[in-house]
Amino acid sequence: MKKLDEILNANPNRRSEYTLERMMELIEPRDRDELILALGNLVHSGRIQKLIRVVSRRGQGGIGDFDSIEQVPSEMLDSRTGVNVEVTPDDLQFIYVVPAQHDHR
Amino acid sequence: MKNQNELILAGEGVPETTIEKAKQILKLMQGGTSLPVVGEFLKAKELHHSAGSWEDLEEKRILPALRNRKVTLEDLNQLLAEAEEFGRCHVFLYHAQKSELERYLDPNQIKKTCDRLKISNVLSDVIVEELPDKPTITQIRQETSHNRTAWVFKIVEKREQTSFVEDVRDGDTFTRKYKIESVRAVNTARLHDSGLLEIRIQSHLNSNRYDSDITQLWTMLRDFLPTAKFAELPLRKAKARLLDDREALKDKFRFSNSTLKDTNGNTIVASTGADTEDLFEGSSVGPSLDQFQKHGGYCDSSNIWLREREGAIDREVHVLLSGRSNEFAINANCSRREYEYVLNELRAINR
Repeated sequence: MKKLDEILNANPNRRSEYTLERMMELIEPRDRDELILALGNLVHSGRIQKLIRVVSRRGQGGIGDFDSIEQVPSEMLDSRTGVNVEVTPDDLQFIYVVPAQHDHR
Repeated sequence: MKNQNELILAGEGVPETTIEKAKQILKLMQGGTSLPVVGEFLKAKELHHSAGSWEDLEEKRILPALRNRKVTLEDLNQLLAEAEEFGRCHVFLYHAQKSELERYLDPNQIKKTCDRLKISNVLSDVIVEELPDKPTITQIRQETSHNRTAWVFKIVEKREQTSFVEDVRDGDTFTRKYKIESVRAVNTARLHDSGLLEIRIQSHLNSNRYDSDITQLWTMLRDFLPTAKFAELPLRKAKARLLDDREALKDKFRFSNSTLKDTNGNTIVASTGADTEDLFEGSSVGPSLDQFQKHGGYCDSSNIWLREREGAIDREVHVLLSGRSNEFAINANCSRREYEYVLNELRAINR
């Protein structure tokens, strides 16, 4: 996937992050699963990281990043608003992080 | 199963099975449309159309018209389709590989597949089932308009949805009580001869996630529309153009909020005070978002309203551009005309 390579090398000097849907928009793969598989391989090889972000419903910013779905609590403090919130699947985003290239060396 | 014409020819009057089926269709219409809409349908046929209740409509208007053959079951089926297949849905857009398209649109191929699956009745009739035990293909039909052809696959399912009832406190335990209700959900797939495929999933009340609904629909239609032969059609260009060309498009679209992101993970949310206002009308919000875009920001989601337009739509229609990259949603009831207008306008700015 040429477009995926372009994304990986777009910002070599800084960390960049993309939601899965943004990746879908930029790459326009023939098959969603094909892209998810390619991203999974990159995660496995250590080229990128995948995280699951709980997003504040009111503040829209992240309130917690997790490595796996099992780690996501069912309830947590929304630091954007200062109150405890119940976490539902609607509050989760899959984020792919491309580290700055010097972080790789 | 015999179709309407065969049933009428078989006897002197309209058979009781036809009357019963009409009653079932009218019952389903109550959940998806309003009395004035059915009244309009009767009026268009120059029939008596006033009715104070659904019972009146059935007994005094529809059934007599059916018995006099002024209205047919096909008419009622079409009205039901118009009532329940548009609006209150999340729409996912795909496009077919051109090389395969002819095969998916071929009526003989579709008939063969139906025969093999032993569901040939869905081609000639509508299975009227309010709450089927399992998701069911209730109709497959060909539509032609302006010399363009499309195939519609309709799937009905029973869903459970919850609504909050009360908080119950028992000692040091606190329980939230929800009522579980079974509801009828209508999902459709429409394949156009241009290769465009729309998958419309009836909106959930309690979630914005449609992954499992989409998977289920693809699985049910795999013999007609193999998933691997369709690619998602992202709405990225439409989202970007709505912001970039907002001045040129302001007679057609109004924004009530917009969310922009960048690759640093930052988010900007811009919203109007009242949802009847326009985000870009006389405010500095537009230039602020432009500035964010100049530094790598992009439109992640928007709440837009398609403005009333003479000869097109008679009221504003609210559209959510969020969720999957190929997804938009119309969460209110709308007519087919309104839906088609929204779809065409979004496609026009997505080129």
